[in-house]
Amino acid sequence: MKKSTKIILIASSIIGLSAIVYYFYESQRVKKLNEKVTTLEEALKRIEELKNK
Amino acid sequence: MAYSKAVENRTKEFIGKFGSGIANSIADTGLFFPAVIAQSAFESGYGDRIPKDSNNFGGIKYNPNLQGVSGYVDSVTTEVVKGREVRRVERFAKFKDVESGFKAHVEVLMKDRYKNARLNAKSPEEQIKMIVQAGYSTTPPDVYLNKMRGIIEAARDISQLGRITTKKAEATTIDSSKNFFLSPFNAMFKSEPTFKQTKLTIPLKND
Repeated sequence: MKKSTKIILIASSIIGLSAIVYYFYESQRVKKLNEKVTTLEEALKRIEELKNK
Repeated sequence: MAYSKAVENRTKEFIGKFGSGIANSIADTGLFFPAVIAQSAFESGYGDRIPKDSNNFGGIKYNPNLQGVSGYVDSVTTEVVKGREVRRVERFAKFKDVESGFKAHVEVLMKDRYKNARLNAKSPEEQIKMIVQAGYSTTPPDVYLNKMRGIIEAARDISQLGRITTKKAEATTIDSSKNFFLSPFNAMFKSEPTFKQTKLTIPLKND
């Protein structure tokens, strides 16, 4: 196998693996946010903070 | 993250303006904050496209029995009839103020036919689809959801809010003991800490 082919294969594998890892953790982050239940008090505080940003 | 900077900015502005009113209206209902933000923002064009002086952020049709209704306005809208988009004049409710408009929007979603969507949806996206399936809009559920998917995602990322409760015991608490594995990735992927879910028992306001 040519050296350049090897490099392309390794690079593709790294990109593919990174994409899978990113997709996994992104879906975990979204899942946790969806499961989150916040008190009204905290929610209003958070919205107030956003207004001032 | 599949939304543009413009959607992010407009959603942030919308949450800043109307987020408190919406949070107050949806507490203990089972409705997701990003779902109601997205629906209100989408239906009203971020508040720019609502029928004049109507304070109607949910595209709510006129019904004299709705709370806070002060009259009606006739406005051109797009409806889906037998799979085809049709432009026609519809009668929309007019509310005395912004708060009443949001309350009425939530009141519509408190109807029994949306109970399953309110209590059993696992995400704002699923909730929107279930609400449409229950008869909220004439637009097919997937089409309706796709129109506001970006706003839902932006609202979730910006607000970091899901459901809202007035009871401290029902709120999720951070469980740091389960956070060990994810912690190196939290900073990299903006992950939230691991939450310990307490059983959510939402009392229904209209039950």
